Amino acid sequence: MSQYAVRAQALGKQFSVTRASTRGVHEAIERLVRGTSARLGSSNSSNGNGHSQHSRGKKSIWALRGVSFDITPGEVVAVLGANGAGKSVLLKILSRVTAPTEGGADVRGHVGPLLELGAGFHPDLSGRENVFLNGAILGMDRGQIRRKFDAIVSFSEIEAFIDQPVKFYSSGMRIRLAFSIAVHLEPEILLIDEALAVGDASFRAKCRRKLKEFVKDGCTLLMVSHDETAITELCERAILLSHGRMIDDGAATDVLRRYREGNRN
Amino acid sequence: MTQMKIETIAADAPVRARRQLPASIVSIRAGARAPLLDLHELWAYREVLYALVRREIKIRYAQTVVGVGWAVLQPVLTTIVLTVLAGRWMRAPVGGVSYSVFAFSGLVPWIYFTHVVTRSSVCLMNNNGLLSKAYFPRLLLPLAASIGGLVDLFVMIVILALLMVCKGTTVGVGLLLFPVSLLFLTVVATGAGIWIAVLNLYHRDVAHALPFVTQLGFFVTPVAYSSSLVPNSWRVAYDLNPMAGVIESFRCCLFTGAPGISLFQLVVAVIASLALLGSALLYFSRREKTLADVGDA
Repeated sequence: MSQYAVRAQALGKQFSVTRASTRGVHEAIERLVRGTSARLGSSNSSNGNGHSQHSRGKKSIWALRGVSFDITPGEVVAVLGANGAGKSVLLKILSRVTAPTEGGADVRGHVGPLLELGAGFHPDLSGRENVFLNGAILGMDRGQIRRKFDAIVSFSEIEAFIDQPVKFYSSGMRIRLAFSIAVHLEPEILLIDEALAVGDASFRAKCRRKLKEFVKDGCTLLMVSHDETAITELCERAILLSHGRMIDDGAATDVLRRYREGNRN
Repeated sequence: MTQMKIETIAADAPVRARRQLPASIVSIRAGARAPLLDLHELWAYREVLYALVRREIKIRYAQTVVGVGWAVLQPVLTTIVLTVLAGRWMRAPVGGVSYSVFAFSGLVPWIYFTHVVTRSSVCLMNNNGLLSKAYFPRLLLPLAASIGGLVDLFVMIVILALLMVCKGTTVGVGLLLFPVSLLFLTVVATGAGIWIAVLNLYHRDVAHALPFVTQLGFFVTPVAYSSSLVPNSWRVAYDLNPMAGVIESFRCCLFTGAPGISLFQLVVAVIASLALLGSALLYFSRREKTLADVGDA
């Protein structure tokens, strides 16, 4: 039996760039007019980047396409790539926040809440209530969360504010609490999208220590980061994405070097 | 559309904290159709529903001065105005009960309905933070709006009971069917709420139209008058409004002297309400997997 924690098979996600259906009526009319003039004017209906122009003037883009990999349990994998390469979309698909347009993935074990800037909190609820809400989403009951509660709060270092509504928290406080919840609720797979970019140096160091512990316990970690210190310190493997395609997969130091070289050119 | 297939995992998985959700392999597949209503999954996530409902109730009364009094004030003040206007001047036929009792009994389900629809309309947008971070059945959000509104509903029912005692309204055996009419009400409100929740995410016009439509709805629903006032030529169209059937059956259960609901009207209303909920679930299940893609637009 092949062991894997995450297996992605030819994952693809297509977005419509104009997000046609999210706007009001007048914008729909505007789009219609613009679409007509575009058809009359130019003929650049598609280019090499996977952008394509539908007949009705609606543009769509493959944010991710044909991405396949296996991640074994306990592996720490960095996802590298320029802005818009598809890193966040990949994590969103794996956390089941959004569905792929093509392909599929198998995820073995509990996935923690996606850690990214602007954590999954409800602003009107207190930090305490958000801990319970997040715990429930991760499949824990109140008793289990209560037992972990003190550890979560003390790690996040926001004891004084835990009963304040989260809307009064600074972005640093939010990410501290989100990170603390995510690691203490013991998911088997943790997805981090540049969340460690905020917070002061000492908290970032503390997070890295905690993540190492977390990995030692056999957990799988998939992280998007531009922080090379964190990558070299934590990750043994890296995946490099470019325009939605996976262009490299290998030892973190090698992939990181290639990514840096690519940026220089 | 992605299908989530949950299998029980082999014993070689790392054993961590005991969880209610089964340790599982989640299979994410493009193109797979989501089930219409996955009761098993909703049950597995009941702690999330509990947390969302608690939050719904808390937010309703957080930072308000009157608090739960809003559940009392709204129907009471409206009843007073209606009693003076419609009861005194228009002399609307109400079938033997005091007009204030008649109006109040229409306002209770109507206020619950508008409350649920209004709360549902923003539930996906306001919870984008959660939607974009973690998986849970998205249907829990509109459901939490429906369940959260029940607190207000029960407060209003208590006030209605007190008013009926004060006015000496006679109740009959129909009262035994009162819970059924409440169920009928929640089906209609939840169905409408789910529709509005998704529509509002894709078309922001819905948010602008909603106050106007609910105001209009007040006049085409027998809240302040009995549907027996409606001309026969309009009755079939009128009866297609499921809230008309809800309010008439609500009154039928409460007082013996109520103008009554014809079997035809009841059947039409029940079919319309089930169609509303069924189509809402269908629409929601089609959109569920990509709700997070538009939530921050």
